[in-house]
Amino acid sequence: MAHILVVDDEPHIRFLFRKVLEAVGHSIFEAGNGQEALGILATHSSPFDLIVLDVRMPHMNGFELLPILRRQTVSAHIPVIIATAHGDKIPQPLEHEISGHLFKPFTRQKLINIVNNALIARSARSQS
Amino acid sequence: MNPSLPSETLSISVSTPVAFKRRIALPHYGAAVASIMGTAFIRLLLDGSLEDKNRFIIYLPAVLFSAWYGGFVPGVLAFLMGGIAGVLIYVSPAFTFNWSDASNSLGLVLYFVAGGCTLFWVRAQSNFQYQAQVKQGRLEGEVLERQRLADQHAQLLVHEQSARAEADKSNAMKSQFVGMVAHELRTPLTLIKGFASSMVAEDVVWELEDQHKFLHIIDEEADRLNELIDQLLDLTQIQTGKLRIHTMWYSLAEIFAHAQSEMESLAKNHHLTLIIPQDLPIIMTDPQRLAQVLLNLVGNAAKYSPPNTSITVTAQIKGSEIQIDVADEGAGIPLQQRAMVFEAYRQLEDKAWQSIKGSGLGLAICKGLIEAHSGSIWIGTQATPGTVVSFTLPIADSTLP
Repeated sequence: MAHILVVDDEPHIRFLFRKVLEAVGHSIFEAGNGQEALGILATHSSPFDLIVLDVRMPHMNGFELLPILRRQTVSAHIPVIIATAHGDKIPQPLEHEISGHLFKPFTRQKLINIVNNALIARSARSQS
Repeated sequence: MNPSLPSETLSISVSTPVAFKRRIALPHYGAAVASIMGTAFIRLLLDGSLEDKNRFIIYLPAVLFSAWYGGFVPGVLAFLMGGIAGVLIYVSPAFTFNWSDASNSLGLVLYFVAGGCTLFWVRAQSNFQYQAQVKQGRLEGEVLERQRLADQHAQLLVHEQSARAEADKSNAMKSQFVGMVAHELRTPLTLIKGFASSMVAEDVVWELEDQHKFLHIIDEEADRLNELIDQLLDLTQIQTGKLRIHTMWYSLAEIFAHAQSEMESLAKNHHLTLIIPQDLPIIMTDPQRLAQVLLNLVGNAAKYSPPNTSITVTAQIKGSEIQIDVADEGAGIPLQQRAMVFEAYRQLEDKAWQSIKGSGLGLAICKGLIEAHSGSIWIGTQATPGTVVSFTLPIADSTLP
């Protein structure tokens, strides 16, 4: 079971993530925007295992939030899955910061697979 | 942008070559006649001896003068007059036309030879000048024509460049627009796909409550997709000038009454107040489209203002128009962005507007619909904070039943 922070401005999308991922045993925390995400990361007692980050968000988009996450010690090493659409170009320096790429629209199975892959890669890295 | 260039820059007219004429006018003939008569008169005054067959030559200067001043034909005239005057005056008996004597005169022969040579020379000279003039005129015409074509090309180039810049900008905006529309379409699609694929999955059992919730979201998002497609089609029609509204005589109060429950549900977290006088005239309108505008504006007001604030819809007669205001107590729109919010493409340029939920097409469509009613729509100013969107509908010709 993993602690996953979902950052997306659409409440229904967050609800989808919560339902699908809770059903496979993860615990989900939601943030509606970048500021909220930073607030949750700062106050949350135990570290998160994964962050699912939407690219298109008002005020601060996913690509703006990601470097901030990497600079903060609390979130520097948490794997990040980017939720995006075809056509959204990932800025070159951010590419190797991303543990998974979730293209919208996605099926439940696709979401579960990408989250699992990112978590497996993380545990493999922490063991080595 | 209007892609067609002004028509006058495209019509290339070829100027006709300048026509040259030898100018032979009354003063030229007058000068010829006067010079001959003057010569004869002076000759009579100075010398009494009339009978001198060899003095024809004194008319030659007059012929030369006439040919120089008037050209070939006045020269010929002077030459003939000089000859006749000579024969009349110098060949005896005076003032009779004694040709048999005149023909023997050496003076007359000299006069004919010298005069003929003079006239021939004048004729040749004037022909030469005429040809040169024509040639020069043709050259000048060609130079002018080339200059004109060069100017025209330069002008076309400028037009072409500005049209291309405009098209580039418009293309950039359109691709930005398409990107935004794709994103807007993808969000409901993601939800439909995500929840539907969750429900058909066989390795998970959802509680009944969850199933209902999933289906409810799928249903809602399908509506959202459909609404977005309708908006896109409306916008396309507005932008290509093909929007059709179906107007009829209709009571504005009735439109408000029909739309009220839907307005209330849009503003269910706000305090909605309608200030509608009962004596509003019936107007020529498309009731469905007008209701669409009202719902869009009330929906916007609810979306962009905090819950539990007031939304006020006011209708009033102002001269020959009905003005409807939809006011909220939200953050308001900065002055410099007030015109921009009605432009479907341009409002995307500002990052602040990307925070706004929804396609951002609503106000552009409202503008198109109100303008199709010959009305106008704008963001008004008010003393209290918040946004007031106002629009007018003409009632000038609609007071008749």
